[in-house]
Amino acid sequence: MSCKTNKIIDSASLYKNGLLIDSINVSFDVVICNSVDIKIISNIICCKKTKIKRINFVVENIGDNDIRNGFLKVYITSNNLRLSREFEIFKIESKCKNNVYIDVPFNCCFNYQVGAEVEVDGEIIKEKNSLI
Amino acid sequence: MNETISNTGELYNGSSMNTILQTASTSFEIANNNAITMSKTINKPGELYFVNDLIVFTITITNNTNSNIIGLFFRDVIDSVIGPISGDNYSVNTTSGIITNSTNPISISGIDINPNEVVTITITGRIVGR
Repeated sequence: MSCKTNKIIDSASLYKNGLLIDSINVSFDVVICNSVDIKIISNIICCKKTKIKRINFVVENIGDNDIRNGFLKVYITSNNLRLSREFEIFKIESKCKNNVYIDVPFNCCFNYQVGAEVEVDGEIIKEKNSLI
Repeated sequence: MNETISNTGELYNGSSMNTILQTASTSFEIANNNAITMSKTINKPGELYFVNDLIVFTITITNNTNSNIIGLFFRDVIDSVIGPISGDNYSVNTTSGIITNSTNPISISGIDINPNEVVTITITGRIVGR
């Protein structure tokens, strides 16, 4: 669970004949708590014909709040190679799951360092790493 | 103080403009920066809002002059942390004008304010996650 207090500034504007004649702001603080769980599912098969394998990431919003402007990054590294996929404006409703994947063109017998992280409002609220 | 502008028309006999037959004048005021003032408040000043809390904005527009002000247009861009109440619509009320859009951004047109009177607008939304 990650909670953050956000200062929100809301403005209103008044126009006459299409011209702005006045505007005003009001500010207030909003506490938003987010909680996510990440599962990494690998189906590594030492395939001989194809070297492409798929790593699945299941991100579940286990909190009560929708995440509508998150950032999800998933990656996999093996030796000096690194693959990553990034998802900006990552949306996931409360109590819902979202699935993403990486296709891995590495030799299937390598060890993989697999990871994922979810960021909301510039703060990493969940990260998970796994050695496959 | 508003600036008062006078304008006079003159009627002559012939194009030589030697003899004035009639004159007529009128005057009007040009609003200064203080003619209209606007304020905006929230229903829980100084308190924290949490997800699912209702937030109520109250906006007042004051006519500080002795003249009618007509045809104002109001616009409010709601931050994404505040969600609508019903469907895509926020709860919007006004004592003058026509609510032309109750989704984000909220707009009200045709706001008229009598001399030294106040128009009040309320907007209600619900706090949602980021």
